Amino acid sequence: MSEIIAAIDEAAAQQLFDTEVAGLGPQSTSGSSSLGPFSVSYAVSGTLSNGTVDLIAPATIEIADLRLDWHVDLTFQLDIGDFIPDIHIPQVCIHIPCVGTVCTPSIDIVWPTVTVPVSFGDYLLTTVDLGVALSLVAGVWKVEGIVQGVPSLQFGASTAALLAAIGLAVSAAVAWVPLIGPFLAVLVGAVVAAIGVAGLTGLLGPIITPFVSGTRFPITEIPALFEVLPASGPFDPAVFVTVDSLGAEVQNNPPEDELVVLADIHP
Amino acid sequence: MSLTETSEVFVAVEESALNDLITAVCGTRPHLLNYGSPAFVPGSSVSATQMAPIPFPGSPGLQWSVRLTTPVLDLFKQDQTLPPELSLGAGQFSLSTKVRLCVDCASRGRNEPPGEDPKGHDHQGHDHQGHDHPGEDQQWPDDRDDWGKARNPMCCTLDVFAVGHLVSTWAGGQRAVGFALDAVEIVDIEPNALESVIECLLTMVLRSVLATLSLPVTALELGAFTLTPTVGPLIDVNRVLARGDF
Amino acid sequence: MRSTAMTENLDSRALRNTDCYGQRFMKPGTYAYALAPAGAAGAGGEFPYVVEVVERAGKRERDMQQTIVRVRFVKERHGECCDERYADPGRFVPDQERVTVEAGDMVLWNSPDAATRPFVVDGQKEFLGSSALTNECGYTHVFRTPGEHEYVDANGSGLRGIVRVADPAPRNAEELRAWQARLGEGALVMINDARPEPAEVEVVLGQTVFFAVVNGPGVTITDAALVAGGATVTGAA
Repeated sequence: MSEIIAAIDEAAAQQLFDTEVAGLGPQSTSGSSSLGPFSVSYAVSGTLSNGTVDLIAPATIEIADLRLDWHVDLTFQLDIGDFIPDIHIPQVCIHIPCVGTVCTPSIDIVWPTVTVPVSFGDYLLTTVDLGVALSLVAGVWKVEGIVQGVPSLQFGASTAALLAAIGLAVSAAVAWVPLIGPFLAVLVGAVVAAIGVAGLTGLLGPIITPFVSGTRFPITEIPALFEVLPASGPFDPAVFVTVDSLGAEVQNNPPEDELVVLADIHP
Repeated sequence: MSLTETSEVFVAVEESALNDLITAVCGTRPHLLNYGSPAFVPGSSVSATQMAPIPFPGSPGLQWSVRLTTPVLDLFKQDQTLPPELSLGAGQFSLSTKVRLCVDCASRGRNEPPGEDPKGHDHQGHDHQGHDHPGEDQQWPDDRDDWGKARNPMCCTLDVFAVGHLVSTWAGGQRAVGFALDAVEIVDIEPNALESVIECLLTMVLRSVLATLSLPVTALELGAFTLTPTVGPLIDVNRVLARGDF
Repeated sequence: MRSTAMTENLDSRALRNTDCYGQRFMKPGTYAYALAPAGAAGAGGEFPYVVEVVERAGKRERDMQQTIVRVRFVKERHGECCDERYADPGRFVPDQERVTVEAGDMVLWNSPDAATRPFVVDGQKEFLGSSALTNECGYTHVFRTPGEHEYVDANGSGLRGIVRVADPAPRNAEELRAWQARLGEGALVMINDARPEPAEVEVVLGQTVFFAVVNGPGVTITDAALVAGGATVTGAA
C-alpha cells in the first residue's frame, strides 16, 4: 500500500487538462512534401484547445472534441505547360500599301513556371486517448498523459475550402502571365483536379497529425528530492524527503472515475 | 466509494509517511527538539536552541537542558501500546518520545560520582528520577565564562507518551497541519505528586515543541495536485486525509 | 483583368520573341549593324553583321521579298571579358551574319526564343535601328494582355496612339478554338511624320499589330507607362 495517495476527480482533471493544454501553446514545423503532382514546401502551425476529459480505468484519459486550430503556408512550383498546351501564334501577314505584304514568323508561346503561395487555416475536432506514463528524468518524477496511437484526423470541409484557396492562389500567381487569360479557368480547374481531396489529405494528414499524436500533456511533476519546508533562517535549512517510488493510474471508484497518484517516501 | 467524494481533490498520508515527514523535519532541524541554557547549549545552531538559565536569587541562574528524541506518531486506530492512563480516540494521534532533562549541579564536589552524561551516555547508579543533594548551601559561582561546559551535569531520561489531535494552521504562508496535545503521561514516577509536576512540565515543553512542528499541506500530497482543503486534514484510520477544491 | 506595362512589354527598343523589327532597304549598299542588349543602342561598338543590298535583278516589277534574320543569345565564357557577378557573359548573334537582298526588299529581325534577353538592332547608318524607326520600316508586336494600351514615342516626337486589346474569355472549347483561329489575323497602323493612322486600333488578345513607319524623325513604339510622363495603362475587358 502506498504511503501517499493523491487523487482528483474528472472535474479537477478537466481543469488540469484545460490548464495544461493552454500551456502547450502553438506548435510549428516546416518541411517539404507532396501535394498531388506537386512538390511543396510548407510551414505549418497548430494550437490545441478545448477537449472534454473522460477518465477510464485503469490507465486511459480520453479527450473528446479536442480542437486543433491549424494554419499552413504552402509554396509550390506550377509549370503551366504541364496543364495547358503551349500557344502557337501562326504566321501573320498583312498588306502594307505601296510596300507589299509583310509576314511575321510564327511564334510559340511557352508557358512559364510560376511559384504559387497558398496560405490557409482551419480547425478540426478529434478524440484521443491518453495513456498515463511515468518517468524519472533528471531527478524529477513526471506523470504525463501521452496520446496513444495515431489519431485519424478528419479534415472534412477543410479540404474543399483549401482546394478553393489553392484555386484562388493559382489564379493570383499566374495573373501576370501573358496570354493566360483565356486559359485561366481551364488551368485552375486542372490544377485543383490534379491535387484533389486525396492530394490534400495526403499532405495535411502527415504534417498536421504530429501536432496531436505523441503529444504529452503534463499531469504532475514531483522532484525525487521533495522539499517539505523551505529554508527559513540560518538554523532552519530546507527539509527534504526522498520520493522512492511513484505511480499513477485511473481508478474506478463508483460513482467517480479518479486520476490517482501514489507515492512512497523516506526521510 | 470514491476517494474524492463530493470534493475534487483527495489526499491521504499513511502513518508511516507522516512519521517520515516528521523525521525529516526533526532530523534536518534538530534544534526543534534540543533546548538548553548556555552551560549546555553554548549558542543557538541547527543542532540546538540556546535559552536563558532559570533565574534564581543568589545564583547566576540554573543551567538546564531538555532534549527529545524524534516523536513517533501513531494515528487512530491504535497500534502502539500506551500507558493505561491514556486512550487513543477517533481522530487522535498518540505520540511517544524520550525526554532527557539535565541540570548542572554546580555545587557538587569533583570527587562525587558524576550524574548521567548529558550527551546521552547513561552512568551506573543513577535512575531516571535524578538526584537530590540537600544541605548544599555554598554560594554558586558565576560560570558564564564556561558556557557549554556544564560542570556537573545531572540528567535523567523519561519515556513520555501523549495523545493529541490535528489542527489547521499556517506555515510559511501556506496551509499546514499542526499538532495539538490533549494529554501527557510519564511512566512510573512516584510519588504521584512528582509525576503530576513532571507531566505538567513536559506537557508545556511538548506543547511548545509541537507548536514549532507543522507540515504544509503541499508536503502531504508532494505537490502532486493543488489542494485547497475544505475537509481536513483529519485523522482517518491510520492515515491523515484531506479533501478540497482543485 | 488589369494589364500592366511590365507584362505587355510593348517597346521597339527592347525586342522579344513576340516582336519583330523590319527594315526595307531601298538602295544598294553594305549596311553594317550590331545586335545589342536593350538600352545599349548607339554605344559606339562594333557593327559585326551586314546586310548587303544589291541592285534589283532586271527591270521587271516584282513583289517585295522578305528575309527573316533569327536572333539568339549565346552565352560565352572567354578570357576576362565579363564579370559574371555583374553581367551576363554572352552576345546576340544572327542566324546569318551577312544577308544579301535586292534593293526594295525587307529584312525582318526576330528572336524565336522566349528566353532571349531583350535586344535592339543598331545600325551603323542612322536609318537602320529599332530604337529609332525612321522610314520604310516597321515594328510588330503580339499583344498578350487585355486592356487599353497607350503607346508613345520615347524619343519625344509626340507620337501617341492606343491599342485596345479585348479578352476573348472563351467559355468553351469551341470559343477557344475560334479565338485561336483569329490569332493569324493582324492589324495595321501606318505612321507618317509621327502620326498614327488609325490612332486607335482594336484587336483581340494574342493578335499582332503592325506599326509601319513610312517616314519620320526616328520614333519608337513604346508603352506610355514606360516613358516618364507617359499615360498609364488602364484595364478593360
